[in-house]
Amino acid sequence: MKELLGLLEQLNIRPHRNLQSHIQGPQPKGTPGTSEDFLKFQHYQPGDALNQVDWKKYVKSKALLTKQFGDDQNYTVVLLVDTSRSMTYGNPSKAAYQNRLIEGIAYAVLYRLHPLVLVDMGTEKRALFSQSVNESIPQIKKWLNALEYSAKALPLSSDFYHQFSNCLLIAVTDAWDETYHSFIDQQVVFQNDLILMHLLSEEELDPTLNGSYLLTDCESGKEVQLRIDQKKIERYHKIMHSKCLALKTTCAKYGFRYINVSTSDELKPVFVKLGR
Amino acid sequence: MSFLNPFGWLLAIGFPIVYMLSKNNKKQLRIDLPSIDIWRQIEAESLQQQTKKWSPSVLLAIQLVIVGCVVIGDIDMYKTFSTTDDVITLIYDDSFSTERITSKEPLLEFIEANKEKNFKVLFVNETLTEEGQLLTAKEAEKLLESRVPSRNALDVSLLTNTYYQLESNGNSVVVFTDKVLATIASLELLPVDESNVGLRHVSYNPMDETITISIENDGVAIQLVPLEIYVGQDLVYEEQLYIEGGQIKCHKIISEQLKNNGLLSISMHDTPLLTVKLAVNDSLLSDNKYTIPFIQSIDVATDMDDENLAKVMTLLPYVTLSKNGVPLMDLAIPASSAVLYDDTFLDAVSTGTLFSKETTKSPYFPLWIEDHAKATYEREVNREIKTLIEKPLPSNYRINTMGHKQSEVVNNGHKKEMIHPELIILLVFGFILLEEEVRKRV
Repeated sequence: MKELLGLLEQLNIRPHRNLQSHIQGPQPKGTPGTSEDFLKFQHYQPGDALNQVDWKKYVKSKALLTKQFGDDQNYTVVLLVDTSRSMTYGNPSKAAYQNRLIEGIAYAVLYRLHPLVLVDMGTEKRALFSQSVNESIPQIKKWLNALEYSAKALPLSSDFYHQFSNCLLIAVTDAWDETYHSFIDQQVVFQNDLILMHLLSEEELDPTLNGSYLLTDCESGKEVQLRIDQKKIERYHKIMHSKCLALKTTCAKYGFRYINVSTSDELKPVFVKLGR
Repeated sequence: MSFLNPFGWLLAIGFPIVYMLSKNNKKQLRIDLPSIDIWRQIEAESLQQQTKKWSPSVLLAIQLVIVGCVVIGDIDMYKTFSTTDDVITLIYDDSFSTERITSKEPLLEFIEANKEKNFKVLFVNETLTEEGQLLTAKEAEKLLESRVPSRNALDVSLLTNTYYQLESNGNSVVVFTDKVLATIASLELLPVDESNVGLRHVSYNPMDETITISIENDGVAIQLVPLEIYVGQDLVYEEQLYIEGGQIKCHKIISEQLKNNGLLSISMHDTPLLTVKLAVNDSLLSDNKYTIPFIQSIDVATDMDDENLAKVMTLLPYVTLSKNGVPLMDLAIPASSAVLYDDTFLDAVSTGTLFSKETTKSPYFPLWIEDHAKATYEREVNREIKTLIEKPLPSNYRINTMGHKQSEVVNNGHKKEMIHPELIILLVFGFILLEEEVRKRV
């Protein structure tokens, strides 16, 4: 546990673009470093602010490069919590894993004094946490435990985007809804940075089904009656792989990060990936 | 090929049961999943592949085969079953003598009157033991018209066995020729053995001079051999003498005459045929009825050569035969012989060679026999036909219920068309399956 906390304290979850968050509410006091600390140049990505482009370098090298600054940016981290019914699937359930993941991320974010907003993707209920880690974590736990997994996750309302632009969005979701692609597209419009944590259970990634089944969609109630054999399992793996790949590709298109997570994964490596 | 019945029933009941069982046997677990869309996609792909495998032409071919089977089965079944629904078996005596003295006309008329039915025509001399091919009325008519008389001896044991089988099978049997039933009637006088099993009752009706043969289970039996029976010189009329339960019975007055005379002569159409010497005993008299326990001997009325005598003996082989009062024990023929009235014998009757030349001198004698027999035959046959057509069929006239157009014989003999329930079950089940398949693919 101590080791994990140590890791989280070292974990720097930062956006890959310059963000100027503007959200209403109290801001965390003090930030490590200064916002003017130059970090590195990076190739221009669509959505990057034009004032970050180094025009001098462009004149010399004809390359569009943006200046990247240190982690002392005053950005807000918005953690999107998937509360669709499908999150209750799996053993352990994706919801349980999601809670542990969010607690860890929240710890890391708050430790670095960034404002943190938790958003229920179904109801868009939100909570802002800007106090110290020790004060906030119990509240976050309480908030997470009070969530109800019944709603459909997407789409998010315009009101949400009105409030949250130029933020670092971390969405923890199983992304079964096909509208996730448009969700990713929208983050570009609202100049958010996105980390999509695609959380799937072991049962979803590698189902151990063999025989005749009546499968019911736990959200829509749609049914399919079929006989599953090895051939169909192989086909399932292929479809699942292409589905993940499609999400990853969409994210990559905009320079967003895509992290594939299984409920059987240890948390530590997942956090390490998040800090890259 | 019986496609629908009983196979139709088997299919109609068995197929849904097997289908349901096989469906239920699948360990169909109900699982809630978030990944249902993937599985739906996989199932759709699988169905698409199946459909691809079964190209439209193959599917069409399968459909055609199925439809073909149904249609062929239907036609075949219709032929098989509808014919057995209403089959009339004709046992036709095609022996030479009968052909000569009888006409086919009444029989053909009968067929014409029942032209919607089907027939089995059995010829006593050749094919009686065979099942016989099912014929339409037209075919039966044609067959009868083309039939050439046979001089083969009638095999009584085959006749009776077949007759019994037909009877016990519940098919309707119409026997038209006099000799066939006369033969059966005569059998009652023989000890019951395997050859005449099933024959139980013979009675003589003096009202119309017929001998009625009843078969166990109230089978068909009516035929005549118009016999004129004399006691001494006196002709026995009406109820004075009759045959019942295999015994000859008579009233007291006749029995007195018998007692005095001791001779019973049997003639055919005024022509003395046989004189029977009867054993008479007073103690057997009761209720004005006299039972003649058994025929003791037969004396051939006139001179007869040994060959013909031997043939006569085959008629009643267990009685002592005498010639002009002299017992001819040395000509005894085994009682198991069942050859009666064979063609040669009847030829001898008709040509007069069986009897004394004095009685057969009349030039009209053979013709007279022929005309008389024919007239009697036609009268009886027509009566029989009338009975069959106008009256309800006998209770044992059972209809085979198999068939496409199931027939039910009602009291007036008309058919009542019924729709086959097994077809409906099959159709309904087929539609359910079809609907399920369509639903899967939509």
